[in-house]
Amino acid sequence: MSDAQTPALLHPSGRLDANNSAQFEKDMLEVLDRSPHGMVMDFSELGYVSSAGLRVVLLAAKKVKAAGGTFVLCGLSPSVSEVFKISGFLSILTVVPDRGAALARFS
Amino acid sequence: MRVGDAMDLSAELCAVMSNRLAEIPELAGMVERFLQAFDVPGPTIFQINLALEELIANTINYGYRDDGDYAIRVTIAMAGREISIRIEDDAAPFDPFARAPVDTAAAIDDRGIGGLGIHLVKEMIDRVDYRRVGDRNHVTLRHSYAPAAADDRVGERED
Repeated sequence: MSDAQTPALLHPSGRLDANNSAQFEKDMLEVLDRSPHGMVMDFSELGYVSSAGLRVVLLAAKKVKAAGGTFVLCGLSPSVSEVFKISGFLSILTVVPDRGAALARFS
Repeated sequence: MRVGDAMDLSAELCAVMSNRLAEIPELAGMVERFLQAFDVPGPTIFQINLALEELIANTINYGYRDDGDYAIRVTIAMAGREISIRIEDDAAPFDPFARAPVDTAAAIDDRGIGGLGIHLVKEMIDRVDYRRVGDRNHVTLRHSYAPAAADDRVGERED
């Protein structure tokens, strides 16, 4: 994998909610700035997400797509996955089981 | 956040929080501990806490005309296998369930985020209701659950 292909990686843990989504958005924009052509969000340590978190995921996916890159989400627990499903996000985002499968999209 | 005395401590949780987003995780922890005592399954606790956050964050973000300190009261009552939740606030009159449904089938570039939180509440909770009572908003949620089997309690992580 060359540096040019290395995606930005975000690996939040615990909760992603209305209280901390602004910080997550800031972190997302920072890593995207360094590596604008691809992003992996690994949610395997995330126990909870609300629409405030979905908003940041959608923003990231749009920005990466606009830069011609690939956005991959992985590690969704059943409850987190349900939130994405009800929102209709599972059909517009690339979602894979784990980080290995996510990184394979960039090799 | 204050936890009030209830008529029956074993079956009702009453909490009063202020209009600060930072209090939402604390409320979520309190609700989780309360519901766990009734063997409510983890995924149901997730749904309840999601609904509470979406509704309360909406009120905090859009319901008040100034930065003053306002109280939001949350009451959760258990009756059989039904969880009844009441959220009361003195914010501007607002029926969260009155707005048009979101288009969850739109393509990525056309997707906005407006209304998504309330969409999640309506999809995840059995029954939702809004009333303006005097100068207060009353949102009521009712949700039935099947108690967790012993095997289910260790399976899924719900922070």
